Order: sequence, then structure tokens, then C-alpha cells
Amino acid sequence: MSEKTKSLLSKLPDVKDHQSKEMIYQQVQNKMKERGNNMKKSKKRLTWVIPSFATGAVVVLSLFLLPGVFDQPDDQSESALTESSADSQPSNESATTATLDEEGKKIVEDPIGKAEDNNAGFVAEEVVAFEHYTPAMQPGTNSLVFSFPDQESLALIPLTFQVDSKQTLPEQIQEILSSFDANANGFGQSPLADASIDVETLNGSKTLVVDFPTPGDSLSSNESILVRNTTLWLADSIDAENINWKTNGEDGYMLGNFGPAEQSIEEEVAPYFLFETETDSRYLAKGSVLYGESATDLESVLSLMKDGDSQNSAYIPSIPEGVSIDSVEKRDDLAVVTFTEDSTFTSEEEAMETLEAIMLTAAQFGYNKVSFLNTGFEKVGPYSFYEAIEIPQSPNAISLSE
Amino acid sequence: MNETFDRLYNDYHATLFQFLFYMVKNRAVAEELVQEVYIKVLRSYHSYEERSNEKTWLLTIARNVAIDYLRTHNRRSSRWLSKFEFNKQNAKDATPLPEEIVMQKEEVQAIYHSLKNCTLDQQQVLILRYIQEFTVNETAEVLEWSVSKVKTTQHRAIKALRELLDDHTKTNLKGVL
Repeated sequence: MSEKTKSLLSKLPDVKDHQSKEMIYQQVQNKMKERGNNMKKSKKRLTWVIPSFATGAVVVLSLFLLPGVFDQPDDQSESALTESSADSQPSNESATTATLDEEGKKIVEDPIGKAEDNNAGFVAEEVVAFEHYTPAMQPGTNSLVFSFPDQESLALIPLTFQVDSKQTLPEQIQEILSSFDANANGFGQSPLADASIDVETLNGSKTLVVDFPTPGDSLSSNESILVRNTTLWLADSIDAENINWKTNGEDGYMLGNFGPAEQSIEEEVAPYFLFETETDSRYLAKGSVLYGESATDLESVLSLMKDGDSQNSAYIPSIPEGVSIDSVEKRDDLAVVTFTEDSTFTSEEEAMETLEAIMLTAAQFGYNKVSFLNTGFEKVGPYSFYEAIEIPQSPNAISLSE
Repeated sequence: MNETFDRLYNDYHATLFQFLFYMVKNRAVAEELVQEVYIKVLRSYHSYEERSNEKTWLLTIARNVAIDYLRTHNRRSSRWLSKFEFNKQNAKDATPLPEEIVMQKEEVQAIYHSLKNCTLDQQQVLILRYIQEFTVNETAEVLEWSVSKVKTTQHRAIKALRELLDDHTKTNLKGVL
């Protein structure tokens, strides 16, 4: 019987591609040229944008660092540390929001610094960025997630923008598109750049309305996924329950070969990986959506985060080689993640990347808090390991006001 | 025309397209995906290491492109079905059958339909091993699995396919009687 099944399989016919070799080559060339042009355009602009951006960053940092230098005359090493850290800030750091790193901790331990903190609440609000990594947005911030692809459209990076709650959603989006220089930060154009975006509220239920000027029938599968995920993640971040897709004012939108875009927003599970831009900045990015057995528990997804995304080499494992997870324990809405005894993070920045990737992945399984054991640190960024940590709101916090 | 494209097309296009078609079971989608495969291949050809087999390297890229598509597509389909349960029983694949399949005997058509109901892992192994006649080692290389995983999956896949074929036959008989 098995032999008959095998024999029937081998009788399945050759199915021919109706496209000619020339037609395929032309299509491939056009698509490559189109994507290549986007890259060249952004590189050209980069040379002008980076110096002005870096200058802005130095001015902003100086405002924070100068008071610290004047108030600590007895500790040359500490001010030197602060200065060297300032030198190493990346060009886009003025766009990152508040985190505490080791410098912050040292200031807390310094009685002079402590006195100043008590007066001004400075330490808790201090803006300190990591050299390459953009930390996540902490809970309780007015924000929305607006995603940008890399310049080759191989990856989609969800960026969380702090927004002014007094503005309407279209105003907030407009502010993001006009203030955030995607090219200078190593990104391509947002898939929703040309769409009109608004929100409708009926009986307390929000619907995100996205209206595209042109039909999406000819979108490639890759482009369709970028449009779909950008819209879905935006809707999720503003707590919308549905999406009203429109084409030039008419209801409905075709997502290429996927067919009509659907209105409902479903929970999805995807591992968080790291993505590095050409400007050497690192962000958390969601890998391919999982389904079936691999999406049933946090531990399975964490193991994928150590292996990397086999479907997309643009995503870097978010759990580094020297770190392994010993166990994941569920206690109601708390996940207790224990690293193996021999796990070692090479830096606080590396630990920060991994811990935030794990926490945001845990959030997809309904966890609200995570406890980490055997990190090798007492504290990383704003996270103290003496207690359960509240999961951040969303990845890659960007503040447009700085 | 690019020399690399020309050579790869001549040597492997039929294999690539065949694989993509049987993975997604939709000619239009396979035609689009094969373009994506060439884009990825031409972009990364300079980094291709000759220690690996060119055919299996290309097929691995094609497999990744197909799975990426299926992951999104399958989730969408299953969600729609679960929302409209009453449609489940009558749900028929609206994708037209390619003429090459339509012209086949009923039992060959039946195996084509049954193949769709195997798991994704099983389908990949069945396509590579029995439709494309790859060796176990080549299949393991394409899927980036161990040889033993290929053998185990292959065994289960054939068993599952046989059962699906039996079900298919019984359903058809009921219709006749």
C-alpha cells in the first residue's frame, strides 16, 4: 500500500511556469532596481543628515552632562566615564527615551548625586542611551507603534513613538512622518507613508481606518506582509479592535495574492529577534509569525530566539551564544526565567537586548511580569533583578521631542 | 541577460518552480514566489559557498520563501474558517486546478488533494523525495534537518497520506451510493 502511495506521488505531473525566461528576468530586474534605488536615495541623504543629527545630539547631551560635571569635582574618574560615554553615543540617540544604565546607578550611590536627585528627581528621569541598542518603551507612556522596513525591505522594525495625547491620530502620524528621518536611521519608507490613517470610536470600541490611494492588487507577498503587519501593529498599539481597510475612500483593500485584507485583529505569537541597521543601531524586531506546536509555550519560542530566524537571515538571535535558558516557570501572570549557571552576558547592553526581547515575547503569552535568575547583574538599565519586572509597553522607544 | 541568472534558470528553473507550485498549490502564487527566489539568489550569490550543493542551496531559499508565504496565508485561511464554522464543511479550495493536474487520472488528482492535508513538514518531504526525486541526503540539506529526521518524517508522511487517500475514497464512494 505504501508503495502504491509513493508510485502515485511520482505520477504527479510537471507543472510549467507560464512566464518566459525573459519575462521573469525583466520582473526580477525591475524589482531589484526599485529596491536598489530606494537604498541609493537614502545613502545620498545620509551624508547630509548625520552631521546635523549628531550636532543636535551633542547639544542635547551637553545639557544633561554639564551639571553632572560641575557637581562632582572630587571624582575625576566618574566624570571621565560620563564624558567617554557621551562620545560614544550614536547619531540617533537623541531619539531614544529614558533608561538608566550603570552611570545612573553610580550617581545614585554618590551622596552628592543623591542630594541632587532628591531635589530634582533627576536620576529616575535621566536620558541615557546605550551605544547601539534602543530600549523598549516603559508602561504608562502615550505612544503608538509605527513600523519601518530596512532599506532592502527584508525586515520590518516596530518603532514605538512617544506621542502627544492632545493630538489626534492623524496629527500624531503626521508628526512621526515629518520628524523622524527614516533614511538617516537606516530605514526605508514606511509601508503606510501614502495612506490616510484615522481612528473611529463607536460605543467605546476603536476601529483603525487606513485608506490607501491605490489598490494593493499588485503588491508582492513581501510588500503585502509589510503593509499588513505595519497596520496590525499600529492598530494593536492604539487598542483598536478592528481595522477598516479602504482604497481611495471605498471599503476594502487587496493585499496582493493574499486577497482582501481582513478587519479583525487576532493575537499572534512571534519571537523577538535583533535587527542591526546600516547605521549600526540595533532594534528588536518580530520574526515570522508562529503557528501550531511552536507557538504553544514561551519556552519553545525562546529556543527559536537563540537559534535565529531560519526564514530570514536579517534577524539576529536575541539570546546570545554565551547565554542559555535553564527553565521557564509559569506562576499566574509571572514568568520566572532562569539562565544556566554558566551563562554570561558580555555587556549590560547585550543583557538589556536579551531581557527586553524575552519580556516582550512573554507578553504575547499573557504574562505581565518576568523574574530573571542568574543574569550575573543586580540591575540592568531600569530593571532591578531583586523583584519581578513589569513588562515594557512595546519595543524600540523613540521620542520625537528630544 | 545576467550570466548567473541565465545559467541558474537553465539548470534549475523547472525544479524550483515545481517545488514552489507543489508547496503553495497555486500557479499564480508560485510564479510570483519564483521571482522572489531569484532576487534573493542574485543578491546573495556572491556569498554562496561552493562547499554546499548549488541545487540544494537554491531549494533551501525557495523553501524559505514558500514557508514565509504559507505561514501568513494558512493563518488567514484558518482564522476565516474558524469564524464561520458553518462554512467549514462546504469549504472548497477556490484555486483552479492547473490543466496538468486536471488531465490526470482520478487517483492522481486524489493524491494531489490529499497532499494538501498533510502537515507542512510532511508535504516538504513528500514533494522533495517523491515528486522531485531528491535523495534523503539532499532532502536533509534543503530542509536543514538531520537525515534521521527526514526518514522519520517521510515514514509518517506516507502513512498519513495513505490514510487521507482512504478517507477520500470512502467519501467518494458514499457520494456514489
